[in-house]
Amino acid sequence: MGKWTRRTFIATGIAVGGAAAIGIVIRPGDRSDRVAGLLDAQEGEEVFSVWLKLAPDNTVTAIVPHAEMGQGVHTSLAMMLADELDADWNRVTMMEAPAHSEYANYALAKGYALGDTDVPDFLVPTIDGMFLTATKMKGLQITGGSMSVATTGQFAMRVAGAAARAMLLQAAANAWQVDAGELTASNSTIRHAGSGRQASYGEFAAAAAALPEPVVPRLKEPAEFTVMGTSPPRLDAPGKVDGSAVFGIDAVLPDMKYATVRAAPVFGARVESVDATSVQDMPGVRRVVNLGDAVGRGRRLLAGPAGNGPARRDVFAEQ
Amino acid sequence: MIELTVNGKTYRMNVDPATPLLWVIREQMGLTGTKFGCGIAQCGACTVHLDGSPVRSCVTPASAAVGHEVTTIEGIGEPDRLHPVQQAWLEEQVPQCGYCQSGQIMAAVALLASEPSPDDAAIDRAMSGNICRCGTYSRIRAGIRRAAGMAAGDGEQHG
Repeated sequence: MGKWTRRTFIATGIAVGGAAAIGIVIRPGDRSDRVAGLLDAQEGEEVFSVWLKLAPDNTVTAIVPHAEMGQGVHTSLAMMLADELDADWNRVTMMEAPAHSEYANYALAKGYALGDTDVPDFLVPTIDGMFLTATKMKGLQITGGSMSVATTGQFAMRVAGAAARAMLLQAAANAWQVDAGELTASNSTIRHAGSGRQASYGEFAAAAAALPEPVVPRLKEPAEFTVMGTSPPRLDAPGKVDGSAVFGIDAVLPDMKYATVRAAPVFGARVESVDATSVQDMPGVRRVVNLGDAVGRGRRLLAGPAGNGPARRDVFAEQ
Repeated sequence: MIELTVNGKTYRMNVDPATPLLWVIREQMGLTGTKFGCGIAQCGACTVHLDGSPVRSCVTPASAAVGHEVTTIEGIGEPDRLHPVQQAWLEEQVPQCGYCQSGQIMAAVALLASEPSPDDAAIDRAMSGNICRCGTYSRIRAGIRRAAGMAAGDGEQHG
């Protein structure tokens, strides 16, 4: 990963800002037809946003766009969403977001560039759209820089949870013909103190998901947190003690082949020749490729002894 | 053609008998809980049991497992009835990234089978061949101590 500077992101933002001004404004939290099919929504399960599914039985699924590497992000981001949603933590689960441009880390870029800068409410959709467009263009769906909680957690998970809570309360208010301000919520249950009525989130999932999503929902003050600040068991732990957790090395895709690089045994070595005969005829071997004096860097294989030459995308493309 | 018994199930495999057991388990049998770490028996991520004893499957030829009982992380417990070590691992919240944990758990299970109440020195001795890049060692030790207590309270059920 190259070095990011605030300057890079601000510059990108300005460039894309021009596009936003002529009408390309995307609300990142929007329910998106492009990802709905990838979210494995079950019968009756409502996709509130790209970050959140709610099932009729009150199961909340936080859709987390970051890799779990032991830092606990599959749990901490779900906690941030669940807290703002006032969800019953015992019914909260998570799924890994699909690899899709809708999950470009706009919140990470936004948080990195703007920090805690106050943005007028009316500009939020434009600015979010701007950063989403910028990060989509860059193909950014990454995990790194200790930024997941501070950015995706803060600007996506908390907002998505709070927005869904507001939608659920509004749906209940509509049905009960009361003011949404008279309703309270906790543990995935909506209550109306005046009439003593109460209902679970699941009962209003469909009606709520059909309502417009508030772009700037009210977030809790720290004193109101019920899940954040606690230390619940990690959601990823069970799969890691029974062997069922899927790591990169465990993934199998259609027509997938394995490649391995035989690196130079000493620093500074140059390739003089490659004798492939000893391995070429082994069962299962497709091809031995002489990469020359190439250096791998991220997804690219760069030619030249210092790895600073042109990218060698051709090497694997033809296999 | 070789015949292997893994987690009580018999497999007839058409593999080169010199193939490391690890790859037969992972790729032919599809049991991916056992991990490849270093490939040279230095890290312990690939630990499985051969007749109850921990071995490094990355350097164990498949032929060496013929006629023996192989046990992997998938074979020590059931989803609704975890092995006491797995249960202790959850209670102590041991795993972080989790990559080494199958090997850690297999090493811990073997340790407790041979030494039901190990002290810290014995734990460190038995577990020194299993490396954890996240540094979960203190929780691994706590997990083993907890499992030792559970196993003792659980009678002979789990050995």
